[in-house]
Amino acid sequence: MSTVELQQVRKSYNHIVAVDNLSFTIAPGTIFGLLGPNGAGKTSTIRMMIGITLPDSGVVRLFGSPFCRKHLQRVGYLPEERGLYKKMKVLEHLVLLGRLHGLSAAEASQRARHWCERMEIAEKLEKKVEELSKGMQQKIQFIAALMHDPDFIIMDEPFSGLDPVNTVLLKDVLLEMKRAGKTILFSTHQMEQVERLCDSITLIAGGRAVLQGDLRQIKSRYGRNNVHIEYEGNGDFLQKNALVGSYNNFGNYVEVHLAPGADAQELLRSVAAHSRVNKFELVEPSLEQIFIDVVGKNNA
Amino acid sequence: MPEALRNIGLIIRREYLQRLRTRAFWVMTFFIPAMMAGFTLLPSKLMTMKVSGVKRIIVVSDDPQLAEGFKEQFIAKGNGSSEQYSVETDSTATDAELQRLKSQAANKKFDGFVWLTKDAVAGGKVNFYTRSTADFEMQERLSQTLFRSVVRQRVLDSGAIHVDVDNLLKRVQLNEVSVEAGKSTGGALFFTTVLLVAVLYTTVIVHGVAVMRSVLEEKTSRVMEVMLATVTPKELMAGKMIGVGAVGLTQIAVWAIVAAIARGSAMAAASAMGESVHLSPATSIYFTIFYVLGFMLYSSMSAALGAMVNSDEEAQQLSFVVVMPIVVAMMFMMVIFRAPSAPLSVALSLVPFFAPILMFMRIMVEQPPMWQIVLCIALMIATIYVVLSICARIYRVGILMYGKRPTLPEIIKWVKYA
Repeated sequence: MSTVELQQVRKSYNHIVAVDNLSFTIAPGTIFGLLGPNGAGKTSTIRMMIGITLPDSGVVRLFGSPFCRKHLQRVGYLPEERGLYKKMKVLEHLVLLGRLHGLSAAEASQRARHWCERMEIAEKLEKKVEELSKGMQQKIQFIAALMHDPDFIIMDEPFSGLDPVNTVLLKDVLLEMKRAGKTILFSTHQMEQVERLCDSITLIAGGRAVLQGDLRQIKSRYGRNNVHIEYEGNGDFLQKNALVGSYNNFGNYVEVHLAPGADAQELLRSVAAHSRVNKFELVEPSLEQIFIDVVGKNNA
Repeated sequence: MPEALRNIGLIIRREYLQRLRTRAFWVMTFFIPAMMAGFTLLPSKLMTMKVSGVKRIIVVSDDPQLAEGFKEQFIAKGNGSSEQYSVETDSTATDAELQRLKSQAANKKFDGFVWLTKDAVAGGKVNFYTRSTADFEMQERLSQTLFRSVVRQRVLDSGAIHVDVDNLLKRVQLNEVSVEAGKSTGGALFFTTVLLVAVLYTTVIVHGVAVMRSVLEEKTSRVMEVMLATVTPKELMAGKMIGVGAVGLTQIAVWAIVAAIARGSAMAAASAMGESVHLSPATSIYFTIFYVLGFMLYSSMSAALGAMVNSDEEAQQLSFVVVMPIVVAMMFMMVIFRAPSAPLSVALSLVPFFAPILMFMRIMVEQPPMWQIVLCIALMIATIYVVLSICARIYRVGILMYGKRPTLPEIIKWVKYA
């Protein structure tokens, strides 16, 4: 039984198709990445999963049965657009959100305290939300999404606006959740952030799935035809080189996607002829590269 | 649906407690009645207040008996306040004297003079020359004195001897008594009605607009997104309306208690408010009913408006949609006062958007037939049902729409969208 199952889901607003015949499943206990650029339809898809909007056609199943509001008590949601009631105190706010998720007042209060300690904001419990920094407010919303111990956790751009320390803090909590058997959905356009976390992904663009499946399989399907080169000298070798399919140049570091059938050794020789090579590595393609590839091909 | 009820309950609780904790609530609770009392009491108090200084008036007449009679009547009429005026008589009623007095009055030598010649009396028109024509109290007094003194003179001139003229002219006062038991009348009734209607009007508008601001705040702060993960837009809207509405009811309860204490205490004797505000239990019940119905009607429109806009400025521009009908209702107030049972009054008071103000007024001024009250409430409930279901649809779509304000065709599409 999959945690989430979408079958041919379609949604349009005022003749603009936001989600177009999208289907995917998320297996229990896995981390799933819903990836795509801004405006691809990620948030629209999530909203249909939790009944904020209904699909025009298609089926959404949660925990193996058609959507019903009772299931929402087992779902934790961190929306991309974040906000809290500014005038409420932190503890009070968390208790309200906990109770809306079916906890008793006492239980909600106890869990809120526990989580605030865990997220290192215990001293803010009696402060008003408006007195807190953006990052702290984000942590509070993160707690609100988890405090009722949901089986399915939806994180829409969870790391945006967080400093590296807090990013690690959040990531560790989420990995712990995964070990405890929870299912997690990441929605983001920053693919490098989630590519190490996700078990499977669905890449969407223009409301349509352009790439789906197990992340490792996808990567191996795209093969080791990527080369990372650290070099000194000029980057002229990248121009008009039959071996180079596409590249992303960072100055003295470049990620090269080989042209079909090209040999990496040959590229190494041609680079070494013009520049000093400090590092030459044959790597799996990054998710971002695959995405640019796939979307580029679809648009062409 | 116990879950829905629990959610609505939690939202009500939040709205209610959050608002009760603000300073604005308590300021408003005590400021509004004070302001209302001020607006209704002060002008009438000021109007009749004694202005410092003695007013000098000259009566010019070629008939000394008439002039003396006028002076006597004028002084006698004022009773306690007669020391404010000094009246002199002048028997030279020539054109030169008229010009001289005019220029003296203009130069503030005295406040005015009455040109009470026999010719003027016979012509039926007596002039009072003065600099300030807006002194209502003096005008009223002069005109009454004029009538009485002229009638007195005419009776004397007719040769009726052995007649006690003053006894003939003795005043008889008309005293209004309402046939409804326990209802006050006249000035007190007018005062109470204006006060209550003003309070009703303000409470409905203030709390109606509070709903709009609250929706807008949830929208702009994006807290809506979190809330919608657990509650439905309907639950959110219902909870908000009931929560804010309950704040209004609390306010009314505070006012009722304060009024009761004020009336019971010794202070009441001193305060004009305690004397003239008469609140019967029936009045309180009707007040509450019309507050609740009016609030429901206006706050549901308010919630839809809040969902449609994205900023305070836009909300301000659109708030007239909510405020207009109530203001129009207030404009018809005098129609109701003058003829509470006239067909126009009955018709206006049955219009659901005006009813909270106008039907309540009619109930205050006279007891309308029960069927009209029942019909009015039924019409309001039906209207609330329709408005609420339309507004709930606008709300549901609007709260997740950011950016451009929707056009009317778009809003109609939202309403049709099931």
